[in-house]
Amino acid sequence: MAEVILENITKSFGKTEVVHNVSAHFHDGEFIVIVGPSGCGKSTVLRMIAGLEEVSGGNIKIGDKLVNNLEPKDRRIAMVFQNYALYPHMNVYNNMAYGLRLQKHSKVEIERRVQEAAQLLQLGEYLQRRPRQLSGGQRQRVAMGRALVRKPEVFLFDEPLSNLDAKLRHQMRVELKKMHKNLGTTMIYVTHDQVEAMTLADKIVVVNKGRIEQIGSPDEIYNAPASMFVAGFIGCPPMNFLPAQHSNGGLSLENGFIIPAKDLLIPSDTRQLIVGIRPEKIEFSHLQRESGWLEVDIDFIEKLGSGKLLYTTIGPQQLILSMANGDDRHITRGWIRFPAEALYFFSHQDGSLLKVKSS
Amino acid sequence: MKSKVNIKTVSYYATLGILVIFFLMPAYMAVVTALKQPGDITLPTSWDLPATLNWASFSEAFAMLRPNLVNSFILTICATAGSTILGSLNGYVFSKWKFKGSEIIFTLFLFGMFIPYQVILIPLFQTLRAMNLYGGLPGLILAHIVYGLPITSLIFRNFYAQIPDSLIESARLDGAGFFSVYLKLVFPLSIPGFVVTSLWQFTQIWNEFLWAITLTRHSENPITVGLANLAGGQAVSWNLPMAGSIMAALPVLCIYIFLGRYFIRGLLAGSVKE
Repeated sequence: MAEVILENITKSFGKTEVVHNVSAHFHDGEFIVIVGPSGCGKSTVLRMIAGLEEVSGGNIKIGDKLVNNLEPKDRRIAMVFQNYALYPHMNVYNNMAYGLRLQKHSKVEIERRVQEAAQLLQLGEYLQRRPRQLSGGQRQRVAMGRALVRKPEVFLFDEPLSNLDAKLRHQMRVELKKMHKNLGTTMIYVTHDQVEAMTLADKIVVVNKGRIEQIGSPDEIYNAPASMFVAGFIGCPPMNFLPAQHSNGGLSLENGFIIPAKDLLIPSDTRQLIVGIRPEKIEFSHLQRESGWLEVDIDFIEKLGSGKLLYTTIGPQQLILSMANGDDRHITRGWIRFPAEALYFFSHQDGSLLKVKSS
Repeated sequence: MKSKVNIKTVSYYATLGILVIFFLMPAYMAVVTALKQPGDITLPTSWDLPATLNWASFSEAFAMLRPNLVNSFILTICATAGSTILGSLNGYVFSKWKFKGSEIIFTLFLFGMFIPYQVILIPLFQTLRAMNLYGGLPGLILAHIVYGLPITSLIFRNFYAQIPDSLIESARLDGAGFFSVYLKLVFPLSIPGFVVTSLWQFTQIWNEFLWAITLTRHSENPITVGLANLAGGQAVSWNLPMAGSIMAALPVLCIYIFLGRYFIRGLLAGSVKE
């Protein structure tokens, strides 16, 4: 088991730099999820940790060892690929045993480790099968098994669940979490799926355009996003953003509605800003309300079973409200309110979170 | 409607039938002539069926061409094996171990495919002489191996492009190096590629004549040259070269009859995603 330290790593392909100065400290035994949109450089970071890509600058340490120039096989890591990368001409047993044979483990030891992994992953009866004779979920398990038998200090996962259907994905997610709990090994997991990030991670690293936007626990990331990007990326449905003018006594939206914000201390030189609010934090009422409430038309409703999403617009901006079930009347209009304590304020210029003190 | 289809079908088959006859005419001529007595072979009766079957033509021709056949087998098997194995290694490097400049080298390789082999005949002759390889089979084998590399490298590179990179990376994580990845992973997965490439090379090299006659001395002549010698001269008994031609065509013919389906499958491999 080991910690992983990234110090100012950069990666360039030719003249284009795709990863800029990424630094992070992952502690021993943590489940790290690196999340970001496709093409943001998250997989490149993982591949640099694995040693499949050279770093263009900076240092990578695994344990207390600088691994920049170590071969992948010498880094004491194991990696699970998105397409599983199973050896098609070898049966399940040999797929798992191949790496151990190359490491010159004894036959008895190999047999022991493979059987152990097969039992853990319920692959016992499939050991003699070829990968093409297995279902997607089983192949996924074999890929995990191949990583497990190596007893690595760090597990690396490159979008391992994205080829599975939704139900299986959920199931594997739970099993992965269990596996981490049992093994206690450091795991670094790359995904574009914010649900996987929220559910699996001890620590989330949000990456955008080759830069780290924020590192924090799922709660921190959700409740205190450092930027509009993070706020919009994490959470489903995403946070609503409304451009607003700040003037004495409130925030006026584009349609002229004023959110009362007397007790918020927004820097007085900030005129323009973006107001953010999570869909579930917007209050909704069927009944006509007075000051502080805004009358809206509901364009349509999405039923999720456990709740529903209401879509409306404020000026040109779409607004999503998330509501519990209960009132099944056909809603076409209503009144909404933005509670001051649920608001986030972002810079109009760069999308960074504006520090606001409530008095 | 129905009759229209029938006319169409009939005309298709009629056209195809005529073409088949055209294509088979030389084969018919070869078989018929081979089976005639030398005395019965005259120009006016050349299309006629033989009066009596003269099977002795084959044994006679075989006795005369035997050394050439042996030479051809040695030449073709060695050169095919050499160019296929080296081409596979080249393709492996060009597709999975790209290095700075590998694309340029690959492009240069491709140029080699477009060089007509007649053009390089004289420089090749001089080179082999300078290497002291002129006249014997080893020189011809070497020439065919080198000349075959562009096409074999290309076939294997395209074949290996279908093997996902993550498979190679996975093996590297498992601790496999350049050669163990090749031997344990890439080679077993490329058997269809080997079938296609070696069939191609076998046919090309077996049938090649110009280099064979220019670069080998009499005792080392392969079958194509042997046949030409048999057909040359003043009074030719035509049954012998014809019987010889049939025997010379047999190995390639058999290969296509028995391995043809692998050839088609290999050429199509990977065109459809599994």
